[in-house]
Amino acid sequence: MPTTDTNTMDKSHPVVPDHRTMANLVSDLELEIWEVGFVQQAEPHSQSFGRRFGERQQHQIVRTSITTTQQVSRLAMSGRSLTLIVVPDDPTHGLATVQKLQEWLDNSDPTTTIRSQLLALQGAQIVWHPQCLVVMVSPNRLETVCQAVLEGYFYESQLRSLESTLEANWDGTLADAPLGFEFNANAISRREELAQRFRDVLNLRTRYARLTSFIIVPHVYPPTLASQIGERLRERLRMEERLDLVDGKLEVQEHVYELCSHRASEFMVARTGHHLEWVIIILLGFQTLMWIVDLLATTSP
Amino acid sequence: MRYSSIDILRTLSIVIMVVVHFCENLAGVTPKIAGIGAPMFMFLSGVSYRLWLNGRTTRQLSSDSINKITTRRGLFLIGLGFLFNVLVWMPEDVFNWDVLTLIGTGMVCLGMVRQSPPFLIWFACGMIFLISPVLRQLADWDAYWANGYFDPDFTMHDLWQGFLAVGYFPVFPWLLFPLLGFSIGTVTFGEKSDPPKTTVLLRTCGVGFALMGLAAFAVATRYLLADQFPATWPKSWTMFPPSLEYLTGTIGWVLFAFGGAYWLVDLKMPPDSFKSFRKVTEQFSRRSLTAYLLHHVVHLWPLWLYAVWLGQEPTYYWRQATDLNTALLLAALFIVACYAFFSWLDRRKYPAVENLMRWLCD
Repeated sequence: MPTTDTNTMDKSHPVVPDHRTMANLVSDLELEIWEVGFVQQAEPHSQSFGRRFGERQQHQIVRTSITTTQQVSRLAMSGRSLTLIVVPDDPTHGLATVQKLQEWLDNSDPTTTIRSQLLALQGAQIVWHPQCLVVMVSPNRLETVCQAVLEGYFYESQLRSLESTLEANWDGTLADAPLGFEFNANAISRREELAQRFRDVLNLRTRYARLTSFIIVPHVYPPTLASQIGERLRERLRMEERLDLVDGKLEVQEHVYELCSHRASEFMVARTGHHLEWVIIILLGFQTLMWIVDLLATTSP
Repeated sequence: MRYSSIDILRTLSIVIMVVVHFCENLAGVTPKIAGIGAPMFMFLSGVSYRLWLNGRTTRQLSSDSINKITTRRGLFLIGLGFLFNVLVWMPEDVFNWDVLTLIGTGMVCLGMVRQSPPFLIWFACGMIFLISPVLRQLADWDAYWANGYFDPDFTMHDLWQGFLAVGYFPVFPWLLFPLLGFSIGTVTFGEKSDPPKTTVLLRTCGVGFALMGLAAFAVATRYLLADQFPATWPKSWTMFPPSLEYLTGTIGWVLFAFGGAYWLVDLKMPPDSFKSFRKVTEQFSRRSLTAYLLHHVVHLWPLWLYAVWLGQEPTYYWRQATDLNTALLLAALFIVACYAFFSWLDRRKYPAVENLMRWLCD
């Protein structure tokens, strides 16, 4: 069963084109619009594009649709998948169209502070945006460039997903922090919840560890266009620094839930011991009672 | 929040006790339903304590205050029990250890074990169940019940024996009903009076049914294979003393009735169904302590006063005042009059014994 990697797209904010800007985006060039996704499966996908990548070469790029348009203003992104716009390598209008597209993308979602990034490398023009990529390159290098850009996008989106999950966890972590000092009977009902959060944090750490080897990588020698695109994307998107920050945040959350698990475990072990002690006390109490009743019976007047 | 199922069961136990006491004390006949009202009454005192505790915890009442209120209420009930024995029965029966002294003792005990997990309470209940026949044997129960009723001497020795093992409702084994009610209340409602899960209720119901079946099997075995059992064995189904078969059966009955009634009345039936019936049962449930005291006063004081007026011993007409039908009719009249009296108290906003307890203890 193929599993579509849902973390790669930010679904909460679909790109809504700004109509004021769209009016100026008329282009004579025919743009190719790809809807792209990522799947993780061993068997080749019927719509796969390029070569496999990632851990154990299990990830595939899937191109679900290709459409063309002559008017940039007709572009609309659903937010359900990644859109990759291929601009023909036209020296007259191509660069202007790429710039217009970048401007349009930057204005498309006023709620986000993320700005697009423009990479110009060996004649290739690449615009990166969390929900859309724009590529202008000569047709003979199109596949190589798209493969490199999409791989870079995939790892960045994984990192972004880690960051957003960690951010969302802070409230819960702060609420759970007191239990790292003292666990009591009232918290017993929260043990399963704490265990789940501990598992979630471990899961995040695992994802982090697996992602690190694709973000912190040595430079390739001799450099290729694809390797340079990857390096430049990692550099421009500050992926290594962000990875360090993620590491720090993960450490704090891990520490809190490790403490909680220790306290909970100690409490439960002590509680079991107390229960056994109480069982013994009850038994001794009944034995004493029997002795008292016996004594009363034998000393009756 | 009121639970109609608890109101219904408490009203049922009050009605059973009224009928049984009227028939026994006026006509000298013990009806077949005798012995199932008091255990339910005690069991529900434990369940209600759980609900009361949850309410106080939700209102952030400190543990210290809860302990004090619980102990005061327990001591109030014990004191009321003694007063009841002196005024309603005779002063020489002050230490006969009736239902009220048992519920008061149970209240004090519940205050002590309220933070214990249910399994520890069940373990204690199991021990009470097992040890009670042994204690009765050690205390020589038959010697205290030679005349068919509890007849102790005014000695410290007999006082303790009566309280622990040989009175009407001694701590062993009757304490297990409030404890069981409290622990079942904890399992059912949790510590925040959450709506119980159907599975918990049905499981309680199922365990109760199984225990009733076990008791029926044990009783049937004793009757069908009577010659296989030694003659010295205790009787099979007796409330005084509470035999193991009787205890098993009544524990099964209270569990079955509680789980089943809650599931049926509070979960399955719409809240506005049988409104009048619910209103009546709520009235009796809210005033159950008053009803318990009142029904004794109403049918016993006339007996004592009439005998004294005729120059007889006060207890001369006890168990021989009327025939069974008249006793039953009087019990029915009392129940109707009692409801009218409670409604009148409500309309006039006059306090009852329950209000006095809250005023003194809370």
